[in-house]
Amino acid sequence: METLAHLMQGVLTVFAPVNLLVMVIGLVLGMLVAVLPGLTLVMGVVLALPFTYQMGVGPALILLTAMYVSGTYGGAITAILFRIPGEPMDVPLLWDGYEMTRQGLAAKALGYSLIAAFVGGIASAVLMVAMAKPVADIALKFSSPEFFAVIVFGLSSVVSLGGKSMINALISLCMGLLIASVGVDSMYGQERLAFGQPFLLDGIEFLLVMVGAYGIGEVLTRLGAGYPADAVIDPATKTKRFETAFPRWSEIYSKRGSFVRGTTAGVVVGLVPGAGATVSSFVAYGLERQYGKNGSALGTGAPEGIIAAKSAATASVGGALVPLLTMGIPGSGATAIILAAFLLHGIQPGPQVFVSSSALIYTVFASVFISVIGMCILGYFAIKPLTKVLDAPEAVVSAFVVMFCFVGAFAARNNMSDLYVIAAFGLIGFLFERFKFPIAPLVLGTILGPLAEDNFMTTMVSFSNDWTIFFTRPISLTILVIAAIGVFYPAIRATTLKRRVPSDGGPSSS
Amino acid sequence: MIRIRRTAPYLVLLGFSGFLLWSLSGVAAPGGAPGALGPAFWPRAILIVMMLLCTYEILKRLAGAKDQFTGFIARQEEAAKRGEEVGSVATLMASAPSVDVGTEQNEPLFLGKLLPGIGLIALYAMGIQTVGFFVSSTVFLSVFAAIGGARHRLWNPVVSVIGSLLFFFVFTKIAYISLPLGTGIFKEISLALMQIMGVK
Repeated sequence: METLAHLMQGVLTVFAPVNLLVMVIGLVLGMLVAVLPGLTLVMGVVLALPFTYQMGVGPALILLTAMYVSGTYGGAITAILFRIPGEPMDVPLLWDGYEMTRQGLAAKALGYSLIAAFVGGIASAVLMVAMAKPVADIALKFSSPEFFAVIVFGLSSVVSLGGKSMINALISLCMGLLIASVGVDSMYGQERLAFGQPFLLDGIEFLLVMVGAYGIGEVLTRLGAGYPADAVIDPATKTKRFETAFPRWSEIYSKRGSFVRGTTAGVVVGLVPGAGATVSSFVAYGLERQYGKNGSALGTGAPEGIIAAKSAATASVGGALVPLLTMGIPGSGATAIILAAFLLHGIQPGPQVFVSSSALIYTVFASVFISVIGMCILGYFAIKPLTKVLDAPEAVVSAFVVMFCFVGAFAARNNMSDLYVIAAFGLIGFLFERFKFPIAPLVLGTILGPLAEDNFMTTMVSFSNDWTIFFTRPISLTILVIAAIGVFYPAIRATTLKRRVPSDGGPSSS
Repeated sequence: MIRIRRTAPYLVLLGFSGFLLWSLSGVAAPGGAPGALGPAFWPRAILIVMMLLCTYEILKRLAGAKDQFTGFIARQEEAAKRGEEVGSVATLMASAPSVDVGTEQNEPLFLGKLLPGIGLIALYAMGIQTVGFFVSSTVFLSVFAAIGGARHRLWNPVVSVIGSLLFFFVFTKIAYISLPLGTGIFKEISLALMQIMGVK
């Protein structure tokens, strides 16, 4: 009951005129970045972050949350209509959504996608509100060893999901942690890795790393690839009239299993730090294929494929916000940026926030609910303008992205040297992409590095440098074991498979 | 030769980590507090882990071993194609029909676009304080779009001027961000624009 009252208060806050305007802007921007070629959801949220400096923390979080929510939907439209996945999470929609378009069922495919996004989004928001307080209450009992273990778990999840090469993901993470340690250390006040440079003594702002690596790095990657997306759309498809046709209630009810599977997969995968919408979408699609009533038809234009992928992608939002708000561990790339917004406004998300700033937390919860509804309204009415956005040449969009990155750097500290830092991280981001080092661990390492070091050093000071303390306290031991399983599971699995699969590559006998 | 080239990024990282480790040698806890881990402990530990990872990868690549994780995923994909259940996220992803999306890192690099693009971004960063936000952004937007392949003689300058003006207004008047105005004549241009737009 108390939770509901807090939530209603949050809804009233979101409906304040300024906040509502900010939310609408966020919803539109989220859709645009999800549709625009060369812009990703995370990149869009990163670019918006510097402009939240001048806002209060409430509107800032409403803006970013709205972008995050609507960003999970926009790409579905272009994936279904033009076979252009605006985001990696929309790739499964190509297999059934675009196939339905080819069969002349585009309007219905869009209808299924919209309903799936609505169901996934609202269900995950309800679960988010229900889970957050109990999880925060448990986290309140944590001490520095447990928090260090939780951070290790968060970082390890990002590494294990960071790409095909775990070594590269680990190196990327180490670089992020190293960047975070540049400057004067918080415990001893000693200079480290600054080489006497005044701009390094203050440390390297994680904002510069994020904006540079995600923003300029992606621009350089696309420029180096020659903007392959520019010539993809079939002109004949573009001239068609697009609308959304909702399926009948009986059709929806007959596919309730797909909704449940997709939403559950989205929330659960979203809860895992580092996973997020893309992994949720793929996992839900895979589950639907394996366990769905109509699983064998997936890939041939089956609505279940759209429902599973889309409901999971949107449901991951609520799941990903739970570890962020209750423990300060971001569950996805976008929530890492929302964490940065909290930190920029001097608030450290975690169990204490539920005590000290509960109104703010419930405003975030309320903004998720209202954003899901707003996203569906926008998704229904804005198909035509959204498809027109694809006309913008990617080179022009990229030029504006670089400009936004630079303005973002100025907004941070009004410091010229930050421009060079951001450009340098842009180049590093490009090289990372080129040499297949994932960027997410680098960014997350930069954000969580200070937190990890503080909790580690505090533990060491509190427990007389006894490092075994992490393994003798049951909660931290459990979390560390789970983290270790996450990291080493692929290697163990690979070894097991190697033994099982004969050298000629034939089927396993077991 | 190919194997050595494949190890190049890791060799660079290894050397850089070694240099950073050496640079930390003089950093100690103030007053040499006995038993204290000191301010260099954390970065030093990370650097050692990073050097070990780089060394492992270098040795693996020199030995010509296939990346076990890439191999693992490839094997799972193979297994999934054969209809076997191998039960991991990678397999679930592989169980869906394959589709060609996005760019692969092994695709050819358009150096004719990339290098001028990098140069232009560097020039933009260096020149923005002297030339000011409006003029530098107008030139940057126009030239970068042209480098990227958008070479419309009329639209490029028009979009650049309107875009720069619009965002100059939005950033200074609405977002209250202090943008560089430039020096000399460029400052006068920026101030005149601000006066026209009603920005104090």
